[in-house]
Amino acid sequence: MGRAPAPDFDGWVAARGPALLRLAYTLTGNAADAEDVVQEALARALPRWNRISRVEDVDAYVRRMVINANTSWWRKFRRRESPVELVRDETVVGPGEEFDDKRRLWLACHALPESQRTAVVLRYYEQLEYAEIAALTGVREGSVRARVSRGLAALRVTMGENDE
Amino acid sequence: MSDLESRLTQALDDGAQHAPSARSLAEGARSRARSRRRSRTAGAVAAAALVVGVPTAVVLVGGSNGDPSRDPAHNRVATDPTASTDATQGSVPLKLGYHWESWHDVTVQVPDTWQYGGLSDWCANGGALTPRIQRPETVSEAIGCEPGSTYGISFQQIDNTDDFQWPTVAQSGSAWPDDNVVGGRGIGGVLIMVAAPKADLDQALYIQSTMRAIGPAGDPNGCQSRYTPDSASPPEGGLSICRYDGTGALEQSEVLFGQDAGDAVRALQAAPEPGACADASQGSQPHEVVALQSAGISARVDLVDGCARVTVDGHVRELTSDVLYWALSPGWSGSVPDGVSLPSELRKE
Repeated sequence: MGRAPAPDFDGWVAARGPALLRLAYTLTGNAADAEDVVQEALARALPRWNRISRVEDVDAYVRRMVINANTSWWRKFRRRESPVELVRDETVVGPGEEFDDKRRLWLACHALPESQRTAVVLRYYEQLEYAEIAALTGVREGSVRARVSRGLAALRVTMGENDE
Repeated sequence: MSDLESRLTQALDDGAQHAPSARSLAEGARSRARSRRRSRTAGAVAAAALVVGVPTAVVLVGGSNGDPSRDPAHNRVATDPTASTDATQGSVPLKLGYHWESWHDVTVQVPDTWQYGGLSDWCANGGALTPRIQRPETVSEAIGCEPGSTYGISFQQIDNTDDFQWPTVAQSGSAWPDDNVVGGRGIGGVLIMVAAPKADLDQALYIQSTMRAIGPAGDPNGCQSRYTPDSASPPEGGLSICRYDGTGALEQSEVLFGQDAGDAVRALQAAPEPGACADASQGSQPHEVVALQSAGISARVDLVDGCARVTVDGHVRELTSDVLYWALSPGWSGSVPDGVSLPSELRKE
């Protein structure tokens, strides 16, 4: 039996775009940056889609591009190039939500240094193993473990749970 | 999984539900890709014009916030008339007060006063906008400094393997200090960026002009861009120190002269016979390796978990803290195996 046909760009984006945006949103913490990161990754992937669509795991490949786009200094250099679609403001927090535990954890997570935040999000949102995170981010597994550990320690401090 | 970890997972899951809609995502990416192609063309034409045009030291035009390579005709552009766009062009004399910093296949001159560290953690380290030298593996400990970066230089691996140069221009926004000029150069898939105060424009332009690829002969510190048993070919009278990551790519290089070179050689010669581990092979690759070479000595430090060692002129020795004092540096961004005797302090530049 032959391989499944390579997915076309629009079809793949329609199917996987929402998950990519959710990942980007958890990495960046705001809608504008999330759109920028995903558009950046997809715009880079598009000219090479014929090749990318034939790799074994397209999802992982593009997910890696999204993560790279998020950490890319180049993207930050070009950051003022707005996403093509309308840039939405960050989600408005409803009354009383400011002190919600989940909201506090969300904000505390996004106050972490970028390398720690990326490792924490991939570990606890994407539920990836340390080795998978290491492969995805190009960082040694030991460094990933250290980043997650430091990130959790910082979160404990922020949440007032450092005695745990 | 601890209670905090469970709550964190739940918080991230819930937060992710507020992600923006993916509607028109493909169209947006397509439009951006088209825009990128137009920009590249415009940038290439502009770069060519700068090379062959009148050697104007500073070109003053409007003030755009965008990628400086996108539309140079509408930016305040400062160009170095002496800068070459040939990133593989040969040697550049080392300017007094500067040294060469290398990463992977590129090298650049950096002022001796610049320190190692993350550009983004300045506010957690005394709060001064001190210039830093940042590599991709540099650990950054800070949280949310604004501006996001201090001055300095950074190396970054990028997808674009073209050779290109961004003009050194002022950037607005919170990414850099208000008083800034930022420029960069892409060489074979590595982007080097430099940021400095406007008053130091000449310095930034000089640094940018020294950015180049490492050729087959190695970098000016005497190090090849990839590890081989004969990685180092030190300059006359010097001791080359070439630091490689676990993949064999050059992470950092340095050359010592005079008293420093002599002290380093003495530390290597004084390393005692090995204890439990005397593995002289390289079978445990990949791991981080530091090659130290002068006209009179050849050594290799193998940073292997459980068997860290130094091999001096073919003889395996114990990796002492004195050897590490010279083999590593304040800027070493790799790891060190457990159980290694670390020096009480690292060298200061």
